[in-house]
Amino acid sequence: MGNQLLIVEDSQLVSFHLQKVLEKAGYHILAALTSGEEAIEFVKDQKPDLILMDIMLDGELDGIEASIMINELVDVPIIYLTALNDESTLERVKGTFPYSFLNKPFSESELLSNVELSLFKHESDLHVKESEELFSTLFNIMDNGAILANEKCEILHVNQSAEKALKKSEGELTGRILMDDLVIEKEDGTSVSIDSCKKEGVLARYISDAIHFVKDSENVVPISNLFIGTAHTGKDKKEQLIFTFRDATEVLAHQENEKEKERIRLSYLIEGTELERARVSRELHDGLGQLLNVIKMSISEKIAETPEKKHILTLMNQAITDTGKISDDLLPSKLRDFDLITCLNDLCDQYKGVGFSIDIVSNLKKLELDSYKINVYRIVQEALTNISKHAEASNVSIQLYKSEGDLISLTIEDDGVGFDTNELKEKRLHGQSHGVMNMIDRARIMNGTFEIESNKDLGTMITVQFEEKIHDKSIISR
Amino acid sequence: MIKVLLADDHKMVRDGIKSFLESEDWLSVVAEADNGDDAIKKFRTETPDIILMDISMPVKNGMEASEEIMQESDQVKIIMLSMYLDEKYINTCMEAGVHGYIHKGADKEDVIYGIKQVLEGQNFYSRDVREVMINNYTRTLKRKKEKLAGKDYSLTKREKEIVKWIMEGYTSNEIAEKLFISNRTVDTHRANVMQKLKVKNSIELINKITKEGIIE
Repeated sequence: MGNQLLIVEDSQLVSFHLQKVLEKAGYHILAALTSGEEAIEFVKDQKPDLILMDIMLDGELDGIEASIMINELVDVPIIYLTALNDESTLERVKGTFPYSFLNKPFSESELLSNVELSLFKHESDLHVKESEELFSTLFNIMDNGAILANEKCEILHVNQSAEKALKKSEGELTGRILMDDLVIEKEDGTSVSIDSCKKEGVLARYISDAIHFVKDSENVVPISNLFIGTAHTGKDKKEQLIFTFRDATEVLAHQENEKEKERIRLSYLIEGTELERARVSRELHDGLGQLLNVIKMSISEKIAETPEKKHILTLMNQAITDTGKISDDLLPSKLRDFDLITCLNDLCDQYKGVGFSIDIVSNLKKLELDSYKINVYRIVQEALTNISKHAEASNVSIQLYKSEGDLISLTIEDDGVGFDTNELKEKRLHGQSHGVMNMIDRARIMNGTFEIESNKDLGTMITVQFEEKIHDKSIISR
Repeated sequence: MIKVLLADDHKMVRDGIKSFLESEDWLSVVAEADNGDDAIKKFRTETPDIILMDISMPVKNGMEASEEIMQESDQVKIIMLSMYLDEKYINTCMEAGVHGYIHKGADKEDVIYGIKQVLEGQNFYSRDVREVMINNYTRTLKRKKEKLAGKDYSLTKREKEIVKWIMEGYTSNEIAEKLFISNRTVDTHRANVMQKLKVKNSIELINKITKEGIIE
């Protein structure tokens, strides 16, 4: 069936002529009306594919006024037919976005080609509109946050997911500059710039699965699955930037949670080991050690003086000394009874005469950091073992400070030969550096950071920092 | 008859000591305690002349118990009986003001002699304890001498290096680059030096270093 047309024309003669011509060309005329009011009523019921509209009409409304009202009701192409062609009429006509404007008198072919063109144009407009709607729907319902920006990174559009993730409305975001007002930062703190999305001066894709952070003056939002690409849209095919990403708040929280669980697991493991060592150490020292002493006393008390007795007593003394030493190696008894600095001083005294001198400086008060003393002690112990084995140092400095905000900083430096830290990383990957792993684990269970830095001019420096928390309980308490 | 209170958490040890104490007819073990708290209670009820006190005991250790007892009485004599032959323990007990320190490995004669000495108002330390104390003392003297020799803030090699650049006005960034170390490390060194010299900011730091000629 041909397209259905509506004619609005007050001159019956012209109207009749139009009908004839159009029907002959295969169009179906729905109605021929004479006033704007009638036309408005008509489109409320039926939908013509096109309206031919005279400007001078019967009734109150003229064709232009009627068209404005019809456009509000339905999307239909309108061709004006008129004998008027003065400036002011033309201006008014333009405001109603007509598909065409035919000056009377017009030829048959002029009419038909205009009708045909207008119908085609409207059809293709509909397609554009549909695909625009499709695009905007897709854009909006995407789970991923999406931001469209122009070539200067000015934000043009933001979808709902992006609004939600960035905690700002499209209105607030439009016009702001991506990678400037909204900084995109990697986990290491470096920011992604437009240049980092370029290859040889041309915009290329930037794709990353790593966590990034979108920062502005108010919020820091973690994101993942970041994609930055380009598109050419709009009439002038200008380059546009498309950013898509996922809100990583939950992922990050999950990761943190896992890390914390791992830390707690590790601390149970290490504390369990320490507890067991403490138990064995105590049994050896107070149990076996004392028993040996009692035996020794009894022997010297009750057995007559003979060379054999002397020999037995020498052996007894050796056994007592050895037991004490084994016990102390497991867990220094001092850790139970003395504060951290005393224990550290004592640990350093054990290194007297091995070729390097140790200097300890601290601002800790007597009982401070008691609940951390085993871990700090073990880190220093491990470091000193390494220094004595490998560093060839002549001076070692241990510094332990508590600064405002309860930040504890422990540094252990030596002026030895240093080593290649890359080699250490390699070894760590293969689980070949138990000493360093032990220090790192100890730092981790205190929720602290561990850094090791070494070069051949300056020697090696280990830095451990953590915050003192009141609720942390010591595992080795009386 | 001298009344003795014996505090040790191991019954076997108490029995051993008791047997040789009571082989002396002038000594009587009037009470035994197996922890620090118990020792304090028995001291109050039994009013011993002398207490032989083990250091490591449950509930309250021997050092803490001794301190409390001495606050209550300046008559009672206390001798620590310890497995520890270690200057830290010995020092702490001396500081606390106990009258003697006897290593558990000591001979019977040593213990009996020690008890007599302490009852006469002397302090007594068994032979092996004395050796540790003398070593300790000579070492302290040596350290003092070293400290007196120069106003030494003992900055480390790294710290001296960093201070030198700070004095020349370089920023942490620039120093890090020069020394091939991280920014954070430079900051840690800077913080450590400030702690050592007890200054609050970089200006005070520079002033102190200039004034005291810490870096030539």
